Amino acid sequence: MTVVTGGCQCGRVRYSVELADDDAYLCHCRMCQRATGGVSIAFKFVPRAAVTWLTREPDRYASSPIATRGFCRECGTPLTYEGEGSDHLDLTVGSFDDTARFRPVENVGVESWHAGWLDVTGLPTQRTDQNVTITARWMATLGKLPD
Amino acid sequence: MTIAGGCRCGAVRYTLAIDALPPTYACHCHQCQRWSGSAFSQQAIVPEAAIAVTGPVAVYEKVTEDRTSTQRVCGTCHARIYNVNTRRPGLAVVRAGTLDRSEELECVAHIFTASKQRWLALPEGVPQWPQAPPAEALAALLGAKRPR
Repeated sequence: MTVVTGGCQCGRVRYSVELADDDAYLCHCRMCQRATGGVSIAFKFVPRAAVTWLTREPDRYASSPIATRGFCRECGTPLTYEGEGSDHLDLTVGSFDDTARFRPVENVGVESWHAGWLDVTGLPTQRTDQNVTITARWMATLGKLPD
Repeated sequence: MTIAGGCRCGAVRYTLAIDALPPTYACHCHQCQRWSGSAFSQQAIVPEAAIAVTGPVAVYEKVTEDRTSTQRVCGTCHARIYNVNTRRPGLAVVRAGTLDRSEELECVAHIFTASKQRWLALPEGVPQWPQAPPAEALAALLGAKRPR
C-alpha cells in the first residue's frame, strides 16, 4: 500500500489516500461527460476508508438518485463520485498530485463514448510554450509558465 | 488609500500605494521558521514600485545558484520588512506582520505544510499544499479581490 495525496486546483480541498495499485479507468457516460465538460472522466476506485480529507470534506452535489459527486465549490474541480450506500468511491485521476502513476485498464459507460476522441495521437500537436499568445499572458502575469 | 507599516522599534516606516490590505499567505517551511523564529512566515506580494520606505534600512543578500534574495531589515531592531528576489522582478514580498492593521489581514493559503509545527491547526477549508504550490494556483488566490 502506498499513501499518495491530491486535491483541487485551489488547494482548499486536499486528501490523502492509501492505494493498493495504480489501476484506473475511464467512464464515458453522459453524466460524467457533463460533470467534467469533457468527453469522459478518469477515475480511481478506492475504499471510502482509504481516503482522509486533510483540510475539509469536498462540497457535494446529489447528481442523481444513485450517486453524489464531490467537488470544490471555489474552483470547481471535480473530485469524487460516491455511489449511494457504497463503501467505495472514485477519485478523479486528475486531482491526484501524481496523476502520471495511474494507467487505464478499462472503459465503462461506452454506450455514449465519442469514438473519434479515443485515439488522438495522430492529430497535430502544440506545447503551451509554442503558443505565443498564451505564453505572453503567463509571462506578463506570473513571470513563468504554469507548473 | 495608503497602507502603512513599520518595524518593532519604530525607526523604519513604510507605506504601500495599494487599494486595500493585501491578501497574505503563510509558509511553514523550515527556512521561514528560521527567518521568523516562529511557526511560519506570513507574506504579502505587492509591486515593488508601491513601497515607500523611510528610516535606517539595512540590506542582507542571500545568494544561491539560481537566485539572489535581497532582504530589507530595520538597521536598528533588525526586524525584517520586505524582500525582493531576482526570480520575481518587479515584485516585493512584504512581511505581513509588520503592517499596522495586521489584525485585519486574511491568510488565503498555507504552503510547505509538510513541515508545519504539529500543534498548529489550520483553519478548515483554507487552501494548503504540503510543499510548493503550483505557482498559478497561489497567484490566483493572491489576486483575489477583498471583500468577495
